[in-house]
Amino acid sequence: MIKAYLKKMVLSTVVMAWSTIYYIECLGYSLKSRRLVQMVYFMMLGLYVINGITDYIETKKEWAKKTDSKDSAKSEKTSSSILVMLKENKAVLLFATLILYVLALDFLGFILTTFICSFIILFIMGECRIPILVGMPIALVVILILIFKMGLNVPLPAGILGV
Amino acid sequence: MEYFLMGFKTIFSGMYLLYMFAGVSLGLILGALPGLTGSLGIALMLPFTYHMEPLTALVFLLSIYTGGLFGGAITAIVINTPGSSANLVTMLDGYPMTRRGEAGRALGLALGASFCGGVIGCIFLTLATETMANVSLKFGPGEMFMVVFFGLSCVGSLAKNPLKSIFAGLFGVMLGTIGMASTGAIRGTYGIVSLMDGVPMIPALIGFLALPEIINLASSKQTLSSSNTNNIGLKAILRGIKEVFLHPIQVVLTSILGVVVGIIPAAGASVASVLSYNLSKQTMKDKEFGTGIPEGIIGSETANNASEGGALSTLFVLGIPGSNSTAMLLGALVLQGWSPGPKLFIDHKDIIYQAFSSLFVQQFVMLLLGALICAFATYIIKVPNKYLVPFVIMFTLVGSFSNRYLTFDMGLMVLFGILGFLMRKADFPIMPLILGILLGGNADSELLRIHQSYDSFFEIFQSPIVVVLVVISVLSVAAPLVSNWRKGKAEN
Repeated sequence: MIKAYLKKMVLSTVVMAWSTIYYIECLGYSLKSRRLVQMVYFMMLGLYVINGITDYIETKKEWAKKTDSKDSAKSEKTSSSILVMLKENKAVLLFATLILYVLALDFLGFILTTFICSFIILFIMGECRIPILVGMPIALVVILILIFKMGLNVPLPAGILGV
Repeated sequence: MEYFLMGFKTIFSGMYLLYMFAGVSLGLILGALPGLTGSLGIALMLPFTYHMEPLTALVFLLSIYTGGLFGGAITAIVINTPGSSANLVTMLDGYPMTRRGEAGRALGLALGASFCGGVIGCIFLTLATETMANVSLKFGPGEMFMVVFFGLSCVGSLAKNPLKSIFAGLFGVMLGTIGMASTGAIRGTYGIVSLMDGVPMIPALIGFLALPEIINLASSKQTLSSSNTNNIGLKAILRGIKEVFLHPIQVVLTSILGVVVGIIPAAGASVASVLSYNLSKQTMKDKEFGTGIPEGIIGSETANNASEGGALSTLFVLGIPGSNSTAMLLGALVLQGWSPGPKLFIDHKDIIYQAFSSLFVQQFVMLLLGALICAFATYIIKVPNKYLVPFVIMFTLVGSFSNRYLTFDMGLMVLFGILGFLMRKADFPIMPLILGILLGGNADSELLRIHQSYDSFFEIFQSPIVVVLVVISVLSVAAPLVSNWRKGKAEN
């Protein structure tokens, strides 16, 4: 139960930790510059405590219900957890691709990075046919260049290709 | 009124109609692309208006503005990505309808509501411009702070769990205060120069709202919609438009609210749509907002389009631009040699009223072109996810880059995307967070102005407008809490 409770609280704790760091930084400024931050921080702190308590009560109730129907839940859990794992792996892979895209963009340039990134995303999405894996990213790069670079004059990063 | 009626005579000429069609199309397309807004369209076209006649320039730029306001609703409904912050709450009911296979109906509702809101905004603009704009002069820092506070108070009713919702809203306010404060203090930037102006709104919108949805989409079924996909095409759009006229009272009320909020400088279409959605939710207790109901879309889309009328009245009568778009419109007028300020309306009454007449016509142009674009957009739901996902991801990435031409914004979008994804998993509502970011900076600067203008904070309560806004705000926070408590009690 504690594990489930901590899992529920982890995000709000991270948010609260960042807010505390931010508030401490703001303490270095005059009261005028931190008045709203101070007000909001203490309200957040209060809500964090209340949320913590209500989440604990909720988790306790959920846990009591779960233990009542433990066997059926167990078989459901194994099948659903595999599905969740697969789904989340896809999400992790997609996010990792996006991070790499942002990191490589300035160096490799828009055309090359977008082509590679779209190729990888298509592959993660389950596309294995080579003509589509190559053709779609090319089409995407062309469309984006037409709209953003030529139509809207957006200076897309040139990178090593210089275009 | 005489000028206004004469304006129609002028406006119904081939050249003006051509500019209206071109402007509305550009606004619709830019508004529909995630990361791009009608404001960008106005900015891009501004240099071209230099050699135009003042009326032609105004008609063209206003057409982009009109198209841009609705354009954002298309992506908000179809792929859960608002084209601009004004279409934020349209997603709440629009996207669930798309998931149910009712994309055509939802888009039709949004288009019909935008049209009605726009027309009502125009009527108010024509009849009461001078009176209303003078009222807005009574809004000092105290009143403005309370308007922002009122906007923030709606966060409690934007999600099922009001406590988590308020917590997320406050976190948004914290994020909204990052950057250089009005006092010159630089907060929370960790030395990153790109954060000096605060957290950029476009990457935040796309990151928190669109990216988690796209990632979820990537892990789900074959296509966007779960059930029948017959509800697409022009017929479905027209059915949706017709349905708007079945809610006349809501349409009129939310449009009036939109106009009033639009008049207030800096409040804008986003605040108008949030307040209007909240008003609809509070007045229609029997409806389950957020589950994909027409009333949700109508509430949001009427107000954001009606706010255009209000914002323009403040611009033309007082010379005060209330948003980026109106600031750029004012820039176009300065390029024409017009001097900004209250004299603007007195000196150029004839041209301004003719521009008002064109606004009416633009609503019809928007209805026509919007229906065609929406009919095309509904077919997106038939595209298999594996092809749709790479396209949408790339568009959102380049969209967030094109706002300030910074790779940093792309990185920020991905970071917010990860945070948004985790928030979804932990059942944390995202909409209040966005509202917090949107209003946090305003709240901070208005609070500072209060301290500069008054000896004590409590002096602002001498204004009846402040008191009314406080009462409504408190009710807005308390109502969902009490309703939840009652529900819980009834269930027990």
